[in-house]
Amino acid sequence: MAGTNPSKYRTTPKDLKKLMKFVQKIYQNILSGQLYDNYLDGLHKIILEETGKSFVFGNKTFKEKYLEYIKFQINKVDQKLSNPEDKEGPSAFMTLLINYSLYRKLFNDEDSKLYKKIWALQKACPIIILYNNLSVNPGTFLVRKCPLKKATKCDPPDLDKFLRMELAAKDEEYCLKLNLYYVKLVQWIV
Amino acid sequence: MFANSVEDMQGFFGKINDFEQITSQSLKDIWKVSGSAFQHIKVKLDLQEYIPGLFDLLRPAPRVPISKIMSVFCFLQIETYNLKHEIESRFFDPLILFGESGFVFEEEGDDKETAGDHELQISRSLKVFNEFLNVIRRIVDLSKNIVYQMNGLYQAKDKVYQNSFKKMIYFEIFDNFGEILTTLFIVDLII
Repeated sequence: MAGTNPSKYRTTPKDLKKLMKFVQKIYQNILSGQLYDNYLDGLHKIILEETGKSFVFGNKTFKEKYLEYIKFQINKVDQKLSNPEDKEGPSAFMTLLINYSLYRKLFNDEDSKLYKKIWALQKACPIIILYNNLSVNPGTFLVRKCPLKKATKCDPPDLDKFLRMELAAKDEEYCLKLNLYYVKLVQWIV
Repeated sequence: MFANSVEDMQGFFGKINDFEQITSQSLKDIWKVSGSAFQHIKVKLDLQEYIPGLFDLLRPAPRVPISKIMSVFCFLQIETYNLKHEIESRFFDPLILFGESGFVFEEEGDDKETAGDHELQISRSLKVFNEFLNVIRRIVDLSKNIVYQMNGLYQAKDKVYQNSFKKMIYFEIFDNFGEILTTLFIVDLII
């Protein structure tokens, strides 16, 4: 409507063109649902353009330190998730996943052993709740954001089957857990 | 003691006012242009409380390389934390509500009835999207800076690395980096 009669809407064809470009940009970035992927690609591209292949991506010391951090975090997250009283386990797991995807993007290092270790952590935490009702399955994140080129046997092998089994187990436990919480609450009130 | 400090404050404000008047007067003398519409530039000072930061208290020696490195990473950490908090508090809720009609049950109308609704929603959210795009640009700059700083820190031949950072991992910066990128991933989930 504004395109056919811009003056009626107190605008000009030039401003309208600018607005269209901006809206397109929003749809390509924020509303595409691939902001994180675009960010990783963009960061890699900028660093490559500014410094070349060897300055950052070829720095073995930086790569080793990043790898050391990830390995340490795998053990730390494993310990946190095995302790039911530790509530920071899932968020630490998410931070690990994000750092792993960034590490893979920066150094293009496909170590299947490392991948397997991170994959196995989801047995202790199949779903990570991120914000309100927004959640992610670690396996799905790994498959979508940093998949391995070569097929590798991981544990759990089938993601859908594993999630269904976990859901059934949680469903069975639900009444018992609720009852336990109720008893605890009554004891606390009395 | 309180009375003395009040007197000191009044004296300070008096000096500031004098400074304003003197500088404004000198500017008035310079700009001798007649005419009622002309107004010369006035000096007006904006007094703000100075809040001492971490480095005012610590006073690190600038010549020691490790204090320089820690200062840089400290600022990067603060910036990362602030950006993460800004995204969570300012953008999550508008992005969640974008595209929602506000009704409990969505009514599906005809094409004629709903024509222009989407454009209206976009136009109402343009300000939020513009601010969010700026924040994303800042995140890209910040993360690029973090990667470069880490790359500079972890140089095998560098003496500072060999003496101070060879046998340790700087966990906090990796953790914060991961946390801020998690917010971008959450935005994808919201969409």
